[in-house]
Amino acid sequence: MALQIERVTKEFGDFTAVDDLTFRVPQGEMFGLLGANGAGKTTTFRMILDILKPTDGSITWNGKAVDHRIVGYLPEERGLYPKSQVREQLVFLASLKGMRSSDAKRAVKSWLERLEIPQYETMRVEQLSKGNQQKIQLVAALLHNPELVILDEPFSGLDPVNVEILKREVLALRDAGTTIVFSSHRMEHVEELCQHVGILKGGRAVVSGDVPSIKSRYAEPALFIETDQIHVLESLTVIETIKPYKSGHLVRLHSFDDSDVVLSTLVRHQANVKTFMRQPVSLNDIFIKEVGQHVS
Amino acid sequence: MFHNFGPLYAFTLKSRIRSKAFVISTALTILFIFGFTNIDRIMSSFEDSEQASALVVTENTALVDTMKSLGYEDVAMSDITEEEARAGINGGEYGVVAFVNGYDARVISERPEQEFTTILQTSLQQLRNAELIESADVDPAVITALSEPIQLDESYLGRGGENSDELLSSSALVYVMLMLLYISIITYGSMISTEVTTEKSSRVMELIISTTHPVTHMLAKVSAIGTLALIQIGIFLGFGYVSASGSELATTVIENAGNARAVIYLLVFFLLGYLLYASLFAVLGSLVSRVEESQQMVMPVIMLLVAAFLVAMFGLNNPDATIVTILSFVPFFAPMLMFLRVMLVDVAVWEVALSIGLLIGTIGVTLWIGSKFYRGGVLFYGTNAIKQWRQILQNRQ
Repeated sequence: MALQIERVTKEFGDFTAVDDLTFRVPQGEMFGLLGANGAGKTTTFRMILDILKPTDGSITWNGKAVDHRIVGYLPEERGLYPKSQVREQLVFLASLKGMRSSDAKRAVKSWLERLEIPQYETMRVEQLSKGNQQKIQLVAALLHNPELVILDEPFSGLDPVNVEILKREVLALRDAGTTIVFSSHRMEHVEELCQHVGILKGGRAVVSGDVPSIKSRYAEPALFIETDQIHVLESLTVIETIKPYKSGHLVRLHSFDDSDVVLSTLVRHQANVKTFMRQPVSLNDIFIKEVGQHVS
Repeated sequence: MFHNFGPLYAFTLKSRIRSKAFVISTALTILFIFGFTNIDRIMSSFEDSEQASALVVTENTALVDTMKSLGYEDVAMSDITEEEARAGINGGEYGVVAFVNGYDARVISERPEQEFTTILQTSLQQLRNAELIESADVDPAVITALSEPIQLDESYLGRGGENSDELLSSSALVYVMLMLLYISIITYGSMISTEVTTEKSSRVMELIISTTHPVTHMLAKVSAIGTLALIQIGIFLGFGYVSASGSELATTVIENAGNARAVIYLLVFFLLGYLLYASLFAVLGSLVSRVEESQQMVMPVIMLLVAAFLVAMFGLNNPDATIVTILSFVPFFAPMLMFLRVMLVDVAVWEVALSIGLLIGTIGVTLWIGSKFYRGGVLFYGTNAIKQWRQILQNRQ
C-alpha cells in the first residue's frame, strides 16, 4: 500500500519541469515535497491527480493508476466559488468525487465543527476571511474521506492559531491511516510533521529519504560557542571558519574529533565560556545548501 | 465520459438562477418589454388630450355643427374682433380663435393647435365639396364610385405565404427568430466564456478538472447556461405575449408560430446554433485567465455572428440570393440562413439535411478540438494563448 512515483519526467516543449523523479510514500505516512518556486512541486501534484500526463514514467497507488475519487487535493492557489454558500459548494465538490449529497451534508457539518467554524455553514465564501476560506478549502479536500491527500502549501496565509489547528488535523488524518503528501516553504513544519522528504531543484530530486538519515548525512562539524575570548581560536589549524552567529559564534571544524582541541584551547586561555555545543543541522540548512538560495 | 455531468449542470444552473445579475436582468428586460409593447398607451397617457376651447368667427352656421360632428366638441360661433380674440387668448379665456371668410381661415392661438386646425380644415373642405357637387349637378353615385379604392389580390407561389399578409407574418417570424438567435448567442455565449474564465481565475477549475472529463465539463456548462437561456426567454416570451396581446403583428406571428413545421425548425436551428457558438465560447474562455481578457478573446466569434446576422437581414428580402444559398451550408451561418430559407423559399429536404449534418459535424469537431485545448488551457495562466497554443496542447501530452 503506497504511492509510487517511478522515474517520472514531464516536459513542456523544450522545458523540463520534472526530471526523472522517483519517490515512494508508504500508506499512513506523511511525505514533504520541498523546493523553491518553479522546482516542479505543483507539476508533480498535478501528475498524481492526472490533470497532467507524465511525458515518461509511471505514477501508481497500490500498483494501479490513481483513481481521482480516493484523492483529496488542496491546491496552492485556493479555488472556491466566491459567491456560493459554503455548504452548497462543499456538497457540490464532494459530489464530483462521487459522494451522495446527504452524506456530504453530514460530513460538512462535522468538519466545520472540527475546525471550529460551524457558524460559516450558510455564509457565502466571499464573506469569510482569507484564513477561514482556507479552512473551507481544506474541508473540500477532505470531505469525501480520501485515502491519499495532497496539500500544496497548506500553511501559507494562516495565523499561528490556525496553523496549530491545521497541524492537529493533519496529524489526526495520518494517525487514521491516510497517506499525505504536502509541500511547504516552511521547513520547521516539514521537519515537525514528515517522516520522509524530497527536495526538488529544477525538476530533479536533489535530496530524498527519511528525515533522521538525511540529517545525519548532512550533519556538519560545527560548534556554537559563546565566549569572551573567541579570538584565541583564530590561530587553530583544526578550525575551518569562524562566523558571528546569534549571540555567539559558529565555529566550523574539519572534523568533530577536533572539538576537544577547541575546548582545551579555551580552557587554557581561561576564557569565560557560556555556551559550547554541537550545532544541529536543520532541514532549512540542508535546503539552502542544496537549492542554493533562500526561499520566500 | 459523462460522469459528473449532473452535479456540474445542477450547480451551475442553480448558482446562475440565484445570482443577482440574473434576477436584475430578468426584471429589467420584463420592464423593457412591458414598456415597448405598450409604448402607444404610455405615450397617449402623457398627451394633453384636453381640447382647447375654441371660437369660430363665421357667417356659415353649418361649420360649427360639422366640426362637432367630426369630434371637436368645445367650439362655438362668435363675432368678436381680432383684438378681442388676442386679449381673450392671452387672458386664457379661450385657446384658439378662427376667423373664417368664405372657405379661407385665419387661426390665432397661443401655440399650434394641431387637432383644431385639422378638423377645421376637413370641415371646410367637406362644406366646399358639398357646395361644388350641388352646383355642378353631378350624380352622387359617380362621386362615390370615384372615391372607391382599387382592389388588388396577389398570389405568391413561394414558400413564405400565399399572400402578402402571410408573407409579412412569416418574414416577421423569421425576423423575430433571427433577433432571438443573435441576441441570445451573444448574451448567453459570453456568459459561458465568462463562467469558464471565472472558474479558471478562481482556480476552482483545478478541482473540477481533476475529477471530470473536459468535454463533460464543457457540455455541462453549455447545457446549464442553455437551460437558463430557455427559462429566461420563456419568461420573456410569456410576458411579451400577455403584454402585447391585441397588437396585430403579434397576432399574425403567433398564428404562424402555431405551425408545427416552423416551431420544429426554429427549435432545431436555435439549439444547434446555440450549441456550436456556445462550445466555441467555452473553449475560448478556457484559454484566458482573466474575465476582461475573455471579452477580447471572443471578439472574432462575435464578428462571425454579426456577419451571419447581416447576411440574414439581407436575405430577409432576398431569400433566393446565391450568397444566402451558399452560406446556408456553412455551419457558422447555417442556423440563421437555413432557417430563413426553409421559412421563405422552397428548399429540398437533402439541402436541409446536409446543412444540419454539417452543423452537427462541426459541433463535434469543435468539442473534440476544444477538449484538447481545454485541459491545457485551464492550466495555462500566461498572457498570450494564441502564440502559445503549442504549449497548451503539450500540457496534456
